[in-house]
Amino acid sequence: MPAPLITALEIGTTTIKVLMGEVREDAGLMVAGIGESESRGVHKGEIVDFELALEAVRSALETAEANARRSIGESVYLTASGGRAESLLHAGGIPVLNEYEEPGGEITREDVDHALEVARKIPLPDDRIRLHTLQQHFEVDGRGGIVNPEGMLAEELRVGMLLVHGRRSAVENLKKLMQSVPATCTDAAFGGFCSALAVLTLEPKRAGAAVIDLGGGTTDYVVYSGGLVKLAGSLAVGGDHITADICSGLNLNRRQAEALKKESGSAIINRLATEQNISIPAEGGFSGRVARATTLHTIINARMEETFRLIADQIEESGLTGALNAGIFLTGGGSALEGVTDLAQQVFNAPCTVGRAHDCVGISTKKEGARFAAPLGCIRYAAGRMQKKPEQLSVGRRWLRKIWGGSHG
Amino acid sequence: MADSPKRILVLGLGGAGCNTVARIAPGAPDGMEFAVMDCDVQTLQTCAHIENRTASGKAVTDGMSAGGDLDTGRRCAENSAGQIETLLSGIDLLMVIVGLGGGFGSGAAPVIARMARNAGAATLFFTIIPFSFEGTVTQGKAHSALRRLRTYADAIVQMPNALIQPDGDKLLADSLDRSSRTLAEGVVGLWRMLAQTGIYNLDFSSLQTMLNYCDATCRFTCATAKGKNRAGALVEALHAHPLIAGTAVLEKAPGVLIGITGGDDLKLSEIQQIIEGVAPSGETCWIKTGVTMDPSFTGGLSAIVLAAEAWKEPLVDDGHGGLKPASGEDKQAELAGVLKPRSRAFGGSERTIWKGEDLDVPAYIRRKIKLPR
Repeated sequence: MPAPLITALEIGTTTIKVLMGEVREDAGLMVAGIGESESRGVHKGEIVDFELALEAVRSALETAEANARRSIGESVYLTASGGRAESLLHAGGIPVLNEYEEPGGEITREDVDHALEVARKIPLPDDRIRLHTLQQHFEVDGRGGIVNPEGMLAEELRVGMLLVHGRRSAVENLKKLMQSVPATCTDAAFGGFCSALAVLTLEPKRAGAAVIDLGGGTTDYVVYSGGLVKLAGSLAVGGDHITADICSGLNLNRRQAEALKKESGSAIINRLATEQNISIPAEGGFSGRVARATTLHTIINARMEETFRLIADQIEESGLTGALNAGIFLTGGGSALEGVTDLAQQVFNAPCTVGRAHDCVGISTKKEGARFAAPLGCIRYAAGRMQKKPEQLSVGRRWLRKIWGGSHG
Repeated sequence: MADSPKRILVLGLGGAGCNTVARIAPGAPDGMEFAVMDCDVQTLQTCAHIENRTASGKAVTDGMSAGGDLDTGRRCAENSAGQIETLLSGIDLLMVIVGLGGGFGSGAAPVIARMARNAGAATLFFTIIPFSFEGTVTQGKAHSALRRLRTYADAIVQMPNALIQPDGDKLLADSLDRSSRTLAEGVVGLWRMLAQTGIYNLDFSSLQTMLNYCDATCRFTCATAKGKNRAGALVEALHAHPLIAGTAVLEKAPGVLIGITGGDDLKLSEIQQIIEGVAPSGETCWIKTGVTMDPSFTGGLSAIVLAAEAWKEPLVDDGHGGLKPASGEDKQAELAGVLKPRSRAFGGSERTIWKGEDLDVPAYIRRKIKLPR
């Protein structure tokens, strides 16, 4: 049986990206089609103009279909980068009973499933929607760090869950957009988590790593430690903010600022080249000007450093500061900014690199890997969900999974 | 709380406000509270007889005036937010006398109005609008301050300087005296109305109803009369008051508040005559009357009329520096507007607020990084 074709759609603030691909048996990812279109009607990862966004999504899907010479098929997986995602660590547990219904006994497969189910039931406010519940280690009678408790003797079995949740209206509007395309949205995954799946292999996940997806409207981050996701979140600050800062700092219009950022922007201030000037071409009746490179770099540096600092604060609050041994992986459009890895290295005090998608064919991972990390990871996520041998799950279970999302990480 | 009397504070803001309060205070009835605030220490020295003096923005101007700069005035007030909060704590009605068109008054008034609103005090601003000969810049500043003020103040009484000055060649001292007297009559009259329990009581909530709906602008007129036909004379004097003379404000007002003070010899027919003479003709007009008896007024009559220029839903800040009517339940809409301000630079999406910081504002501005030019 050939691997099923999966379509991943990322509705970003700057671009809408569609990737069609399949995950082969050797875990290699083969990209069959790429579609991209300039995003409109989306700000900070959330839809502000439904019609414009719909048009852009349709055009991206059409490009991908033409590129792959195949139809997008039944199911589309969505990455939700906006919605102010946050994560919450929660533990739930059950008492373990022996065959006479007395406390204390051997942990069975059913007990494990039951504990997972109880732990997944985390109450959320009405305006939040769960994107993922990611399983942490088990805890048997207060002893933590247990990977597989099946067969152990215990009185109580607990398991931690990292709940990644986003704003309900933001995610549901994305799904509604898919219905209008029309296409079926099978599942929505958190963009930061997808990026991590694309760029991190098992080794950095175990050693401890952070993946920061620098998007146009949002910055998503995911922190792994000991092979598990320990922290995830999203800041509604992104490349657009840098552009807006340049607009106000240098008195430029948006298009000029965007071009300037891409051509001459840098996240670090070069103290040696303080006299360097950048010429801004004449436009719309205004004569051209000359701006100092230091001014531009100071503006960008202030914003990027702040963004990294906010994430670093979150990591510190979760007590994960020393755990980033494998380093920081940057993905998304913002990772193309000059000096951004150096800045991240300073702020996080950890090695930093631009993340590259591993095990991929059909796409230039060197050139596009970081930019397409989220949809690439989304294909992996979808493939992982499909491999979960659906025939073993009861109907009710499958339904529960549909609501609560997968648990692998 | 029910037993404690409502506290009313008269605050003079900026140069003109301080001077006016300094003139009013000596002749005011007992129990009236006054305070003055300015960033100019010299101004404050001239009102040494007012106990409650606040020098604002020491760190900003170092005791100098704001130099006619709105922004400096605003920063001064924001700098002394703590002092202002202390000043406003426990106040139910704040009457502010402020001369617009200068620096501190125009800049600080909106800040004070906002803080008073947060502190739960109703605000009534008596604003002195500069002469037209003071130049278009000053006039423009006064208007922009008025616009900002409308967002937060419950009511604004505009008193164009040109209207309250006497005609002809008068000494400057006389002119100033006249304008502060006009103001004093209004402020003291209103205070007396609220502070004393009348036969027909004009209480605090009626004033608040008025303030909430009057679209932040209203006019006032007041007069006293004595003698045989004192009611008729009073009505005439009310219409002849410089602030409304020659206009149809009273006739067209959608809401009026009438406060009458009389002595032991006050007659019902006189009350009727005054109300009929002053009240607008419209059927939908909102009229609230209060009558107070004060033995010291025996033989005379005094009245104050507060007339709304327009009657609208209360306005709230729409988050873009503008105003919009609160729809339906005004408190709710206002709260929502405050909690979820929209950002203009990012296509009207919700602002990114992170731990109380607005991340949509450029990072270099928030962190006060000076850009090399």
